[in-house]
Amino acid sequence: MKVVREALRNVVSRGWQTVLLSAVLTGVLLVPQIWTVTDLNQALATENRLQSAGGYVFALSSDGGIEPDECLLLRTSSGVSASGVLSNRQEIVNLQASPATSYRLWSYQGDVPSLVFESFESPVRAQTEVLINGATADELAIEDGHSLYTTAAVLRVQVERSAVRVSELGRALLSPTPWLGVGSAAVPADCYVEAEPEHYALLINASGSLLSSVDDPVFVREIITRDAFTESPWRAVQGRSSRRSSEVAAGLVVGVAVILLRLRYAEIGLYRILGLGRAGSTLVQWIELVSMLTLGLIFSASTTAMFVWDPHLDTSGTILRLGLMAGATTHLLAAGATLAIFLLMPRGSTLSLLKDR
Amino acid sequence: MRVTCKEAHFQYPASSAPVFERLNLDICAGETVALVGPSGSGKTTLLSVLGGLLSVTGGSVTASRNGRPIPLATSCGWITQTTNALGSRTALDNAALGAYFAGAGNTWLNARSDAIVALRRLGLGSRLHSRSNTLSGGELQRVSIARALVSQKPIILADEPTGQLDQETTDRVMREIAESLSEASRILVVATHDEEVAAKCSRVLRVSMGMVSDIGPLR
Repeated sequence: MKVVREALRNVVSRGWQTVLLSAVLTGVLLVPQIWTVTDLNQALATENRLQSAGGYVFALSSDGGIEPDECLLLRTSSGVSASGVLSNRQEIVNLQASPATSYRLWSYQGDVPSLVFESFESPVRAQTEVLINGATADELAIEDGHSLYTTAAVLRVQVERSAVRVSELGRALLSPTPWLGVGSAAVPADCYVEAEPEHYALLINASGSLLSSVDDPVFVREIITRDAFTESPWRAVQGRSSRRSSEVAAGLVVGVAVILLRLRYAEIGLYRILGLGRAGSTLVQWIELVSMLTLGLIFSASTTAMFVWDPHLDTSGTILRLGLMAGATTHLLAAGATLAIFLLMPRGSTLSLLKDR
Repeated sequence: MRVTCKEAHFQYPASSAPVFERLNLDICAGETVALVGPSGSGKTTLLSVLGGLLSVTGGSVTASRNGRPIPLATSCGWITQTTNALGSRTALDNAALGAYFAGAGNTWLNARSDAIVALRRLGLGSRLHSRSNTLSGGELQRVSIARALVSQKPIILADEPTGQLDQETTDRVMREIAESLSEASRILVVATHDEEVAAKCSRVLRVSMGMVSDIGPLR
């Protein structure tokens, strides 16, 4: 019982260390994210390599989230605009915006989209009513003075021209024109728009709104590389940290692991000379291992839950999520160091455990 | 209380020469023994053999109380050369561990009370609640001494216990150790390079070239 109490006292006393380390890790991971979110123009100016390598996907957000079947309208200083709507139906409606508005209905069978209806009324006249499949739905304001009635009918994926694609639950991507695109998602989420490099500045400065709530402005929350976007949401978040940040974090983790190993080694020696013997000192480490593992798994589960709950968080949510990730890393690291000790311990005599290393 | 070496021999597996051989030694309760000799002569090895951390490769090393054998490994309190402490715990916690694990009846509260007294006597009254990883080498060494003293183990083995202390603190620490040991007739074996420390011991053993020679008290 004394051994158990002692182990728990150790876990508690290490609390401030894990909190401190988690905070440092969070900071290291957070710096590039803040930089990305707050300085888009600088990112565009400096990340030429990324631009030429594959372009960016712009994540558009609104404070209230973008609901399924929502229509997003973007306007730029040059007058270019585009809008579209996505829904969960097995159809795709692609609406191209000014100056020559057209609309197309795609049916999506399995992975193969097929064009079932196309209109080239150019431009769409004001209050023109278009019925698709006999059903009307949301109103889409394409340009001042123009409106269009159509079924809000698309699903999670759209295909148009050579631009593809997407995606996964909670994300969608549209690039119906060379300049701008619009999308929405199957769940309240960000909308992702892919743009060609020459239109980056236009898109950043575009004003966006939701058709259902013009007072709820849409803003460019962040930009991510196309490669990162095509990864899973989890990997995309990880990918947002710069390589340097990841290297620093990895170095930090390795350094801490080495220190933990060294400290644990000496601690076992100390417990042995205190009279706990091999079994007692092993039990102390086991209890700590289980405690750290449990805490690490709780942090991991919380991180995952946050992702499932809302894959795309605002800044405070991102900080919280990174904090949870760092907490999970720190505790699992401590558990790993203890586990490593179990593998190494049979080789160490008490005398060697006590030596400085 | 008595520690006895009979024809004791020790040699590391990878070494071609023994650290010591044919060692016959008796250390009785209340004795303070200094192990002196050049670096690498085997002082720490002999200390480890006496404390049961290393097993002799020949002969025997035993401990007995009132004629009955007692296990060496659990009868020794250690003051280590390196400043071993649980870094995330306070000086008080670290010192209290000695008393806490010394006997089944010792509660954490009692252990802490003993540790407070010992730490204050060693000049660490103001550092009781400081985390070990914020203490200096000398302070950690005194924590280690306090931990050994409150353990009430009949044999105290000290490896360079004053290596990181100034002369004034060394005198104070040695005085406290001597008082603590004499109260309970405990045995102290100390490996040291410090002649002042050796001079305070009742007996000095010189370890050199595989031989251990008893040269009596220095003063």
